[in-house]
Amino acid sequence: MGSGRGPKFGRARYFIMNEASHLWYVPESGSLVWQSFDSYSLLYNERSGNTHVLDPLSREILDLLQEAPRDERALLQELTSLVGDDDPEALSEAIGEALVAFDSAGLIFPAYHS
Amino acid sequence: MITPDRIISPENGAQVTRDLNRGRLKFKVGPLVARIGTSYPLLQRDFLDIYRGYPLAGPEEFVHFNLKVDPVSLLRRWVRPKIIADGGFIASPFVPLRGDLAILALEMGLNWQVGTRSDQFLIFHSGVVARDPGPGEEGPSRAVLMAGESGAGKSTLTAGLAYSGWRLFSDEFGLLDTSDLHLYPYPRPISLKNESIEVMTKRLGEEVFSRPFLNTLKGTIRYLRAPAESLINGHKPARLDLIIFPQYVAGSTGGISEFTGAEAFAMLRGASVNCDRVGRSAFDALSELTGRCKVYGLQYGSMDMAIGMVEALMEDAA
Repeated sequence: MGSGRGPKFGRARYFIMNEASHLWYVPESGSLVWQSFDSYSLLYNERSGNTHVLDPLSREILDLLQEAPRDERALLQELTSLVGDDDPEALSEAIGEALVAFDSAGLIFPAYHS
Repeated sequence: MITPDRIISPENGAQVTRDLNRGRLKFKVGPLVARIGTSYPLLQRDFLDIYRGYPLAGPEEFVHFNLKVDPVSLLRRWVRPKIIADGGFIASPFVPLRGDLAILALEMGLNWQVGTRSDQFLIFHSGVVARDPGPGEEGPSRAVLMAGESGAGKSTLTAGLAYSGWRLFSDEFGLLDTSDLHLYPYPRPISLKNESIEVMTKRLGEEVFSRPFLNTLKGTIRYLRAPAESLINGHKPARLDLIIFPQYVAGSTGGISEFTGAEAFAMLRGASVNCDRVGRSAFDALSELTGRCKVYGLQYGSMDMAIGMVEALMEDAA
């Protein structure tokens, strides 16, 4: 049905998914198993069978996304209040890198503003 | 109880050879039973040499692995012989070897079977030895697992410890039961290479070694037979208490570094062959081991030095 609309819809969807302001969430967080050693966290994802090592900032980001879907700006605000605002650019960059890593590992999914 | 007629020995060599020819020799190494066959006389002789003392399995016992090791063709049986292991693989992971290296084909075939088809255990690429309680002592047997890169010296150290009062579990595989964190013995002959051969023949003499296998891809190889005590007690597991990553460095005066937390976990996970296949119980076991066991890097310059260091570390781990 509507074969002419497919590509246009595909492009629009791709555009939206690359907007920095969209929400991220952790699907089926019950499938994540945590262990903590020193300041690092080990995460076993039962859905993928993969194990991940998370530094404290990455752990905090994933915890926030498990709590509720958030976009990058909301994460920056909340983490700034936790770690201070000495270097907001570096913090923003670290959040962006963590989101890319989580996304490629299948730990977070994009959601959309209603 | 192992009785003399139920072990591989020169006395029943004719029967063992017949069973090898028929492809139905069943023998046990620790908790695993292999059924092997070969019609190649040189391999039959080498097998009888390095596997003497191993228990034969009864007709009713479950077979974990099947392996045939034979010439690749009738021509290659007689003309520049080429031998290959066949374990029922869809695509064979092996290349044919020269006829005089047929025992290497068998050893590689068995290693492959263990590494890919024993997911009832969490498997580590490692040497393992254990201390049994002495007469009048109580408590469990306690194992040390020695992991690391190939060539780091773990087989040599395993061999040194196995002939210095420790019980040989394996120079290749640590088989961990994730339900109780006990290791199971898998005491195959120890494969020693190049300089390690000289070190160990000086300590132990020639009679505990196979003939040398020359010009292999890894240089010269000789197999060191498992001590008889290790075969007699091949069914007894031991609690894993100590994990080390040994590294032989010529001229080293010895060094120890401790790994903790996530770093120790990552190193231990890296040494595991099948943690992805075992899944959640592997993660839980590795986490518990990381919390419970000491994990050390150990640099050594001589066998006596290394044995002393391992004994001291095990003492501390008590």
